[in-house]
Amino acid sequence: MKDFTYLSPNTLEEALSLRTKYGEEATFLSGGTNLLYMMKRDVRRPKYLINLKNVKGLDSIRWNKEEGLNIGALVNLTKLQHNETVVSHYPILSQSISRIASPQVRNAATIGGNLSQEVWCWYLMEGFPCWMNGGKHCFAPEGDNRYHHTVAGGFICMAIHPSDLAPALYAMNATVTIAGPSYEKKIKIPELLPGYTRIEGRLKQKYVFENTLRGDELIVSVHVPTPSEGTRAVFLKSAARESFDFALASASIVVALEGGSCKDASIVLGGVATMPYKATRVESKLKGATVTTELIEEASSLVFERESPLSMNAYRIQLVKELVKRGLLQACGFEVEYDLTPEALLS
Amino acid sequence: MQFETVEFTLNGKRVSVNAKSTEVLSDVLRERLGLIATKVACGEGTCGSCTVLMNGEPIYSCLTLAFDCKNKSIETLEGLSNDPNHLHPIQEAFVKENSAQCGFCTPGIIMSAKALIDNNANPTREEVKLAISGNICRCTDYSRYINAVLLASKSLREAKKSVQN
Repeated sequence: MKDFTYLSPNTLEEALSLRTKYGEEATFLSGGTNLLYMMKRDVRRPKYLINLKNVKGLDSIRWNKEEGLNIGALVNLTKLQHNETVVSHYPILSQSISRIASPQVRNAATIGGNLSQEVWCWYLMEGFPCWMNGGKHCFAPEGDNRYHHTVAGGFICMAIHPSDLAPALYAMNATVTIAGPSYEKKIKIPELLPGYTRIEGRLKQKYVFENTLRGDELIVSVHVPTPSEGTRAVFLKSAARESFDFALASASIVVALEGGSCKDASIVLGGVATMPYKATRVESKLKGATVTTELIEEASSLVFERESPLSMNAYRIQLVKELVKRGLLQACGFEVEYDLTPEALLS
Repeated sequence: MQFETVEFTLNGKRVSVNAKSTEVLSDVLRERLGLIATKVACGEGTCGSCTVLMNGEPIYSCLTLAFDCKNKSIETLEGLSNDPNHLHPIQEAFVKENSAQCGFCTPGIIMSAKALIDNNANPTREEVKLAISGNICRCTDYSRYINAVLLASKSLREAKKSVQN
């Protein structure tokens, strides 16, 4: 790793003012499972690391029925996954976290870090001079785009946003609180992770990151509202291996059912686009309708507005449609084949 | 170059290392302290061979800065036993089940197993698989590791029972 100076502030104010002092040469560090990986590969070379793990007040989980769930950005993923409140009132989040990486990664990683992580594309990680690495090119379209790149279109960087938790939070209508040098703001997941949309302002930054955080901003907490009565939420992930791997596709499905009909649906997909992808056409098909297996079959074919596979990743399209179908069957209480391996979904 | 004194508890004893900012825990354990049971294969947190326990939880020591270990409690394989004549029950079980082939992943798997058994005296097969899901083995199909962990937890339960009687 390139040499760096490690700074360890005790308060949020100190952390932010250190970033203001050292500017672009300073990066925040929480769990390190993304940043240190990239630093060891020499893809990221910050001169200053601002360690957030000693900053007070960012690692609590608070809940009450009216206000919902408030999660500090430094809350560790394992702790969040097993938190009693999360398990009983927001099980989709526990399900999602349980599929992230490995136990050792989850023991170090934080929710703030998970949301602000970089894309995981082997061209970037091998140091190719791509959009995310100081260049103005994406190597995926003419290269090997089987695993890490979008099937739902892209503009410059074609890499999939790798978070499993972001789609689940989006489906649950989470709000992210961000602190800047002298302000705080609250935004929704699609504003934090717009993918290739709304790229204009960010093209001027030195690196174009998949999230809209400015270098001197920091996630401080995530809020998830209380789901309404009768809401069912499931998280499904299909990956080549049962642990470690990023999703070939993931589906976060939140449905509100009354009698046999769907009052509301929120379906967000991971592993298919440069951002968590809201399947609005599927949602519209379901809302207000009586839920049958036929309707679910029809709805899950509507996942993409426009399918834009690259040369080697068209298989993900069928995979995600089948995953959405199984997720909807499960969420709506129907019997479902629970085998989510890529082989099963593609057969 | 930034150096700082990093004090932490290692296998129950207090140690102090003058570490560099760019050093990770696996560097400290292997290069500074000569404790080479902890292996480094991928060196980037994707294989598990460097697994040690920090405050009882498995982490990748190759992806943990030395500076982030201040005042933590670190356990390595040497802490279970460094004496081949007096192995820890988990190590005994791995020997009995003939679990390892090349042995490179094994220290990491044992540490993940120890964390499991410390928190769960009677794990199921599924729970064992989950506990070692962050440790990759290139030689075996993991079945003997799983059997060893189940055997170890059984021996420890029985040892506890006989102490209580």
